[in-house]
Amino acid sequence: MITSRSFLRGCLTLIAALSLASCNKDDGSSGGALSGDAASRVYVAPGQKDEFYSFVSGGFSGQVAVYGIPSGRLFRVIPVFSVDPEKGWGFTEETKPMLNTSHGFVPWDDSHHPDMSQTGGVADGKWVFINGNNTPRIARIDLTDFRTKEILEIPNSAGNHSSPFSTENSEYVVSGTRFSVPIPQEDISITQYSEKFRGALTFVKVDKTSGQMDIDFQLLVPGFDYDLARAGKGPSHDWMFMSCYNTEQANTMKEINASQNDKDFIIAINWKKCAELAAQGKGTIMNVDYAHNVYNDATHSATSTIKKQIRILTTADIKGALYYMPTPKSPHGCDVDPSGELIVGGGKLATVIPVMSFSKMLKAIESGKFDKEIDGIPVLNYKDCLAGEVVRPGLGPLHTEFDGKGYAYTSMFVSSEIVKWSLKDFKVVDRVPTYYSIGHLNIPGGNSTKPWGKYVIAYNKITKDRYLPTGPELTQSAQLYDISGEKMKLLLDFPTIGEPHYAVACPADLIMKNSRKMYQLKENKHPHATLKEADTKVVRSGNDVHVYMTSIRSHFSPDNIEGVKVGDKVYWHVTNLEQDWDVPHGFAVIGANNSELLIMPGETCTLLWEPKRAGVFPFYCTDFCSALHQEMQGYVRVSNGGSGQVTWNKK
Amino acid sequence: MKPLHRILMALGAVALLGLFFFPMWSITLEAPQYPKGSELGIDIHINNVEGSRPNDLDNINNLNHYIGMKRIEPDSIPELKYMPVIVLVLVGLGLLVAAFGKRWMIIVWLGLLTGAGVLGMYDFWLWEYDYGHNLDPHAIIKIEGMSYQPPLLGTEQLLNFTASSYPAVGFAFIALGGLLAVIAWWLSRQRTTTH
Amino acid sequence: MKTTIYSRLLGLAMLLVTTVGFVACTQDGGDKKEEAPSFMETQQEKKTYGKIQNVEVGSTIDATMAKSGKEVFEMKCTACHKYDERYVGPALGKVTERRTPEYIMNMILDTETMIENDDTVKCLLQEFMMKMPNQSVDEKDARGVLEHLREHAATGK
Repeated sequence: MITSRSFLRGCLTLIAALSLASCNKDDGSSGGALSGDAASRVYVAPGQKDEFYSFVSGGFSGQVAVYGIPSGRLFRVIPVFSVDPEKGWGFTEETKPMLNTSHGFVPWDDSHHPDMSQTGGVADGKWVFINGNNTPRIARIDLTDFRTKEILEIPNSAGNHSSPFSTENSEYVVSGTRFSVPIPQEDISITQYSEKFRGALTFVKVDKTSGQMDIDFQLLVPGFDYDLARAGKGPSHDWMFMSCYNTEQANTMKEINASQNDKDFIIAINWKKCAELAAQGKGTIMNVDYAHNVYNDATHSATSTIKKQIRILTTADIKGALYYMPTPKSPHGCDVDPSGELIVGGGKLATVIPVMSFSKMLKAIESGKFDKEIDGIPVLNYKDCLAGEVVRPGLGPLHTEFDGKGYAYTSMFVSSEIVKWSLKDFKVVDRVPTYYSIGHLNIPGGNSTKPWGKYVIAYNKITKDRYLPTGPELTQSAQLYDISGEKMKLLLDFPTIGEPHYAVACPADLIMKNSRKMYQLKENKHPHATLKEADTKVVRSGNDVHVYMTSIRSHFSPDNIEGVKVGDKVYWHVTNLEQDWDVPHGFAVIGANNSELLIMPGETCTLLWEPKRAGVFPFYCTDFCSALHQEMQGYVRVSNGGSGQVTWNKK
Repeated sequence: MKPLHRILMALGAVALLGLFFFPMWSITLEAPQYPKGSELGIDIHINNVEGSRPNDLDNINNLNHYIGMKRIEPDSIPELKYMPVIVLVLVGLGLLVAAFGKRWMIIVWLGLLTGAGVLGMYDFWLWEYDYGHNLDPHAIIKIEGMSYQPPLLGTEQLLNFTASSYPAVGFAFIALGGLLAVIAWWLSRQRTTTH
Repeated sequence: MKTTIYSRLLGLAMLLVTTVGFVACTQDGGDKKEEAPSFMETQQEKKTYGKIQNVEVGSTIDATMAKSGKEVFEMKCTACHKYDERYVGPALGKVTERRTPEYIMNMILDTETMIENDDTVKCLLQEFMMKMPNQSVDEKDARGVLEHLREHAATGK
């Protein structure tokens, strides 16, 4: 029986329980309810596709990785500057020339900053440009088949860090030197840094249709470390802004000696004016060797040419086109907001984020009021160019991207966070921790005139305990945050290849519709292509043996070859006769001192094999192509003498 | 026959010309490796057999070599040479029927059309039987008692492939032609006048 | 019937619980609504952070301990610290005159906690822009380094 007493007791208990429960619920919601929501936001169901492509630099891996956002799934590692034996990149006769430089064949580099080609200040899905930091080069990747099609070496440069950054319509990509050196190189004492060492800022012209790169001109500037750049947009279209540090011009213990000055600079370059002057023939032609390597789609082969001359413009030649804007303190990032008016400096040792105003800069230039001049380049007054400062944002600001809704997001390396602040009043409105020590961050379209927004991805330098440990060497980590609301929300944590520095992302549709499924056999103009089985043959020419081979599910033709001699150079020219989607064939032969071939449908690739022993040796297809893939093999007989008359099984 | 009926008959005859522009039959092959959107297909035109997408016919032939099926070579299919002739004859006869305007001629014409159609289907079945049963004895994949005759009409599972055989757009023109002829015949019937 | 007492109790309990619940819940919600706290803002009271809460130091220097401590200091510390000038980190020649033994021991042994919580360390971080790494020194060696620094402050050795 329910008495009023027991009823009241019941009420008391119920109220107590409810309030306890609701308190606990609040405590747990930051874990429980939100984590469920985050999972559904990043889950791309089997068979479905991601929203965005993200091209992420591999840093010291020298490659570019393709990830899907929001799932964080890795789709491909595109070989650029580092050899890749899996794809034969840098090992096949056709691709070896791509890695040629004025220093010879260089099988590795350090790639930091991808930038997509732009039209009207918005990424257009045609090419991704990326820098090689160590042996200065810029590479161009074709997004119809996700392959590196061109590599251009940058002469006089040492440390191609401030590169490649595209102008609003990809008229130019810029390349600035991180390490000043004597230009031209000479055998002098290192202590002569401040007198003799110079920086070189190279402007590479990009052809609108073919994408081919050509050095238009190079500016010789004071010996600072030129770090990162961003092109102007809209009203500032004609200008390029580049951060530089080590205005102390230290050459040793730069950790301390380059961190002394209270302010370094952002250099403003009127590239339009410089281009006009170059076109008029101003400056001097300098003789210097640099390689230009181009891959031809029809012949599936690369050619390397050594170019010999560039046009140099000194500060005297380009008066009125260069200005230094003081920026606190050892700046790294230099980013321009979507409107083109605000230039945000990331002074990694500064306690503020300075925001410069383009219109104020122009007024300061017009007024002729300069603080001083360095090598003929006017230094403007900090306050005259300043739009505002974000005060006490955190420690170690580096890079800024924009969401197109009036907010900027800056990465803080030392305090390991992303800080969101308003472009109107420069006040911090939100901050989230990153795990750990964020370097660059990327918002899809975050450096364009019309950001796509939605997410910000942090690319971090320290991983520690984020994932299952793998010994002392850990993968790098990236975090995906939702920025569609007022506050940022962490959605996903995913590991990356190499060490990603920066990334560029765009909607999947921009690239998907142009993605090639195969190469057309009828368009194959490779000099050693074999377009039908009836044409396969083996030809001896002195000590060179050329095997003209075809591959199709599931056999090679020919697959029995005799008459090769020890010491011969055997060139296996294999053509994949398939014209179907996703049917590559591999090719490998025992004892090859290079790699395998991975041949796409319709393509021809060549492997050089130098047999050192007599005997009968197998070769086989390495890529699982069909139910009878294991049967896709053959033999080559190597003799110790004999006539050398090559024979093969005719079909 | 009134002029309207003759025009209808003529249109019916001319409709058959659609067969020269559109495939009349289509066989699609779907498999786990060839999901919806990437399935293989053969389009049978009155004068040609080709893949639904570029390279489809080559790819089907390449896959068929595993089971020992003959390669489908349009050049070696004689029907593709004389079927267009039959169609043109039917068109010509149909126009003559419209010109002469005799109702019984329409029936004859319809009879010829139907007869040609039935004969065509039978011939198609024979062709499918030949390709599906007369396999290379040295075929790589041999399954005792298995044959690979695609269905005449409908869907059937052949190993890992789901084969569907259905009329294509061109077939509609044959139906249209017949229908117009029937309408012409029906409308032109003598009505008993009561007043 | 005791209904009136219970109903009063009930009323009081409801009031209490609702107030507590409201306060507790709004605490959590409140944090979310406030502007996110800066890394630099912390509590004001000076307490000893880190694992080491108490260190015994004698009135004289233990020469053996200082000698082994000097070896550890040279191997693990001199890459960033000099005695008399600012290097990557602050000069440590006279650090024992400025900081407590507990502070010094915790900087060596519990670096992350100190960086995150201690006000002095946070200010130094703003100045030097480098988080001192944990150098994996064990307690015995850390005590040796402290002894060496005590000796150096006194004698300059």
